[in-house]
Amino acid sequence: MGCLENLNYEILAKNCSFKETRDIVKRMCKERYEIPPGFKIVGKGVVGIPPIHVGIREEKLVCTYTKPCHGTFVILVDSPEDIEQVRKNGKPVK
Amino acid sequence: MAEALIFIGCPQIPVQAPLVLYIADFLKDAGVTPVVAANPSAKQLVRTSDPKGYYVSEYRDLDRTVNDLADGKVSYPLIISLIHNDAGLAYTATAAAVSPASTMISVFFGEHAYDLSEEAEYPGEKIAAPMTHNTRPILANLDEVLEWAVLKI
Repeated sequence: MGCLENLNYEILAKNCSFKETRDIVKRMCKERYEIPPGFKIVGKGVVGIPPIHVGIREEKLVCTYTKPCHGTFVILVDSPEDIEQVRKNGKPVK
Repeated sequence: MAEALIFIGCPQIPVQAPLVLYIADFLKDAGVTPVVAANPSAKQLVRTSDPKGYYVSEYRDLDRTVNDLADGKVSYPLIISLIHNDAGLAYTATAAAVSPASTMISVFFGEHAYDLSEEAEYPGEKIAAPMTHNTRPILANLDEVLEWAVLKI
């Protein structure tokens, strides 16, 4: 995930199950979207168990990043381009 | 010759690498070329077990494979995924979603095998046994499913 390294990001939670990530995104963000598996964020297809939720908090993206040996991370990424794509193509979650 | 993707993640559970070689052997006998998609450590364990590439001659990076499946750059009629943790389930659910035309076989193992298999909601065949060191409990079911799958592709 080389592209992520070039961006300003923060790890909010680590070694989560996918169910837990949905709860974390819900707790942290009022503005949330459902995206399909494989949706590109920072140039990489998002890995996850549908429904995959991402959120926007203070114009930063709250999303998941899964590693085979370390489970799923919830990260906060400063990426206006990805926020634009999520708002344009994601399905709003109420 | 048809290709089948063997999809593996974290190599923490000892039965994983032997299962990869067992499945690859089965596929080759059936005239199907096995391609292994793995993270670096899992790939290294399989390569060390099969140094001359007798069973597996083609490897791919796991994340690149997910991206390429999603972009339509590659496709496989059969994907066999070995799963023992939540991340493995997430990768497999993603592969199933971005490659809906593929026949999916999920092999659940490790101590959470049954719980994980109950969480898998994507289409496909699922077999599970809570094994960590002994492959025997799953081999009969695995043979049965593979025999059916190679006839389908």
